[in-house]
Amino acid sequence: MSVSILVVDDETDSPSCSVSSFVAKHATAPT
Amino acid sequence: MHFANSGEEALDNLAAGIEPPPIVILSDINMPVMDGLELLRKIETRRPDLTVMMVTAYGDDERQRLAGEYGAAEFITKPVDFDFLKTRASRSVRRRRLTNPNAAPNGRFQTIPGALVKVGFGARPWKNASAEDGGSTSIVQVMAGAALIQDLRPGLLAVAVQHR
Repeated sequence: MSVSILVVDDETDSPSCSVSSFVAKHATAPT
Repeated sequence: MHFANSGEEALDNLAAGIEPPPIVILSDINMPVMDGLELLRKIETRRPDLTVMMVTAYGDDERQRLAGEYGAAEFITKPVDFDFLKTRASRSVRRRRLTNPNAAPNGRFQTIPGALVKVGFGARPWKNASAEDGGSTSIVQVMAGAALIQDLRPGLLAVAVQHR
């Protein structure tokens, strides 16, 4: 199922705890 | 996939009508100015058709309670497992479609909180089943919606909503 998602998080968060970094990394990773 | 760097930006994006329109909001809680819980409240007021999932490093009971009270579909603590996140997102969207007629014009159920419903079980397809269909039927009260009933009653095939 394809789901359009809006990810909201603090731009000052470090990449290691940023939700958007995490989602962007995994959503584009080959499965 | 859309990204917003703050709660205000998220609300602006939603108001501007970004494409494709999101159906899930995945929001951190700990954010400056407008935290995720306040964003959740605003979205639930302005866009109740959207599914909001909260992600936080602070999984304390109070935040979790407030997120549930404000209408969050999920409360997920970091570190997040991506497969887990995908599963929860899909489940939340399915539930939302079942319980929110605005989110699913062609959805199978419309629910009225506080109404009494007849729940039918059996082997027949749901659309042919009814409370008079034989088999096991029971009366339950809708508290949150059909999704709740499905949790309580796996194998649910039909729900007929009645006003009290």
